[in-house]
Amino acid sequence: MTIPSSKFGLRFKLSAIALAACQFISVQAYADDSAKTAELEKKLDQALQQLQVLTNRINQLEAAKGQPAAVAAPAPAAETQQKIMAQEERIHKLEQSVEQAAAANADQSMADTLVAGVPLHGFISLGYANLPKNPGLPKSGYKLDNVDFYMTPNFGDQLKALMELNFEYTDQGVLTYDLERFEIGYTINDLWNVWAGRFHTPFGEWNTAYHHGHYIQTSVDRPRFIAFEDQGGILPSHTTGVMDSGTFRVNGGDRISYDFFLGNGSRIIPASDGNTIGINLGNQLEFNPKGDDNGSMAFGGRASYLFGNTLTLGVHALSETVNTYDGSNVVLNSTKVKFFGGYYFLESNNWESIGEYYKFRNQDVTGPQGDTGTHNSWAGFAQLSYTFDNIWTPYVRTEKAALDQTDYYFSSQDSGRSYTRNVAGLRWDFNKSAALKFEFDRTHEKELLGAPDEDYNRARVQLDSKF
Amino acid sequence: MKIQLRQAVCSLGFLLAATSTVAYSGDVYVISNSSLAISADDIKDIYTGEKLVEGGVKLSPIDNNTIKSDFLDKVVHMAPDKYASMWGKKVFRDGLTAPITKSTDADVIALVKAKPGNIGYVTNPTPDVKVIKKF
Repeated sequence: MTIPSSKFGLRFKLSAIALAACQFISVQAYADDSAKTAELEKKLDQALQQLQVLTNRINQLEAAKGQPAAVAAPAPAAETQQKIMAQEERIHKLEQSVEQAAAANADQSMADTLVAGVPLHGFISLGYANLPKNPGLPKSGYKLDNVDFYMTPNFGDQLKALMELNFEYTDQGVLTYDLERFEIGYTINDLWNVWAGRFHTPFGEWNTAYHHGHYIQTSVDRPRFIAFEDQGGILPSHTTGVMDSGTFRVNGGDRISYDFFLGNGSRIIPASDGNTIGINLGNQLEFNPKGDDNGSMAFGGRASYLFGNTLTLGVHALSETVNTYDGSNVVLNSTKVKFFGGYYFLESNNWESIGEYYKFRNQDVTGPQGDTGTHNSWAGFAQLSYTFDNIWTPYVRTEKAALDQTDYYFSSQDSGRSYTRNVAGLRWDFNKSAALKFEFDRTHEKELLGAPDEDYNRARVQLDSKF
Repeated sequence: MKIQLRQAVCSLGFLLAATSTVAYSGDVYVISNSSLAISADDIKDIYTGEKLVEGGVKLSPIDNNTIKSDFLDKVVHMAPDKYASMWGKKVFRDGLTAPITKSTDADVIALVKAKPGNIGYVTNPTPDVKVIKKF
């Protein structure tokens, strides 16, 4: 029993079309452009129609011969042979068309928006907040948070660069913009990645994992005490200087990583909106982009051990001297800030947890009461989340800061009060590039000596997206 | 034969109707430029952005879209969505360049041959590239 070679070829082609079409469908999942998807679906429909026509044609040919196709048939007439060849040619063209469509679709899914030949990506964040009526807090209502752009030029060799430009509204409603990261790096080998410029200070996990991209962090905001300097944070999140990072594998699948930095220390100043409309933003840390104000360099770093791509355990430390200035640039006090601590990051199946701990031993250098010695404080947080079906992620977080108010470093900062905060939220990834976050938190805050403590609740909805 | 053909067409229809990813189940050959000296143990690290340089040469992984799911499953042990998310974060956090994606063996091989640090994976390697490992 033989099968005519032309029919065998036809069946092979049909199979090839089916596989190509299936590949096309699978690749389609990566496309974001709905118009492109619709166009490809149209082509797929056309392919299916062609397939049906060819199937019908085969049935007609078999019926015309009046015998089962599996039985050896006499050589087809010249006319029939020509038709079959024509059909094969059409199938070949169709196959090419489907493959090209799939390839185009794949390329489209990986396409970048280019600015001067450099891919441009970023994040957008906005939302609604229901807040307590308190003169010291922002008002309830819709909020524009930030638009964060970043670019990573590809120099083609070991040289690399990263620029992150962030536009955001402060709690006072002032639009600010900043080059949050502006660094150039060189990879000597896996152990020596040297960076210079402005970078996010390597402490803990959160500060260097999520940067200003709200979308990639599970929750609406960072824990309060590690927020950025102009958003209530009490740590120097940014540093201008040099940093070295490295990593190497141990015990098969485990990994040890480290970061060490040296840079300008920060200072505390009464921040404003740049005197555009004279809004006082309160005393904040400032990262000294153009030289260290007191000549005392900051240094520190972290080291971590990654267990089997699941659990990271790390330690971190930092030291710098921070001066506080008044509006006339007069030094009010000076503190030698030192902290050390540890952190973890767990990512297993659908579970994710992150926690950090900071122990401060700050020493007053100068101030209204002179050298008041060493002050002990601490702060920490832990967050836990679980993702269902890659879409729904409920999460909880608890955070606490016990900050000595006789420590000039904390008492000089507007947000340097002790507090506890408990957060519960739900993240809904309704789109591959966007998520809605619903979050409720309760805060207990200790005010400066003599002032009553404060309790308040906040409910927020935030839309975060990436591009 | 008619029955067989109809069965085949039905099967094709079923396959076409199924929107799940169709994984390539054959062998996957990880290849590199002939001048590059890397070991099979480095492959996962290279495709997860942990290993960036070898012998002073910047490593540039290339994805082959046709067999990407199978490669990620066999070698990187990661789902495609997770892989894309991981690289998005790597680019943002560390300033790395995500793997280039090509759609055919020929495209991947051409790119691997073009630059010393390029590595890729294909179903049918050619003699002019180095096969690091077959999975």
